[in-house]
Amino acid sequence: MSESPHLSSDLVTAIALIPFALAAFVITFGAFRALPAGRHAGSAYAGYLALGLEFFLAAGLIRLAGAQDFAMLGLVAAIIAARRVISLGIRYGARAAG
Amino acid sequence: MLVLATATESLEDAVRDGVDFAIPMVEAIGAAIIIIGVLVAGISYLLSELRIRPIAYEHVRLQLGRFIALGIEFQLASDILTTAVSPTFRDIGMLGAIAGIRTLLNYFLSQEIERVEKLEREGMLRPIGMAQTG
Repeated sequence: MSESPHLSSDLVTAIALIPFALAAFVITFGAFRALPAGRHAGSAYAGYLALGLEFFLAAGLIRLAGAQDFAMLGLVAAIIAARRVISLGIRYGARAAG
Repeated sequence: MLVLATATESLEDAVRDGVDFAIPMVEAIGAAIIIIGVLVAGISYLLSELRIRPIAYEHVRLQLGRFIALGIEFQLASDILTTAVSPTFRDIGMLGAIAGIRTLLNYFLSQEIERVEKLEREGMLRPIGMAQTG
């Protein structure tokens, strides 16, 4: 892709810091918010984790606009797979809880 | 014949220049839509955490998901434009992989959006602050 025009890699990396910081905040803060839920902590944290992954995904997609290499592509694919698994986990968890 | 060949070549160069200019523009629009979604969802999340306007985390995900889905459409458009000017098989392979991943993500996102919209209609969503109380 070196010959194709794309957005500046530095610019998109800088912009991607916003969703990245939000993701880190949601996941870290969610851990503290979920702990008091006791035995429901797992399901409570899964919600924060899913939301954090959504922000990570946004960061990955923005970075992918500037740096299209296989490493970045692998990272985005891994985030998509993880959010899918967590999404299914939340759904089945909710179903099991009634 | 030579004149026709020269005219075709210059037209091809003009189209290539136009596409080269359009690719970063379309990509920037896609990235801008995603970043606007991040800001909207981030503000919604913070307002909910601060109990100013409590909403369910699924609703925040839905908000962000809609923006991401729209942003991906623009990025896919940029991929399609890039394919038109990509000179090597490696580039086209990479583009195919990127387009495939974005299409897959778009599919998953639309499925989740439908599911959350259904839950929203049924009133099954709880605000973020109340979600972890069990």
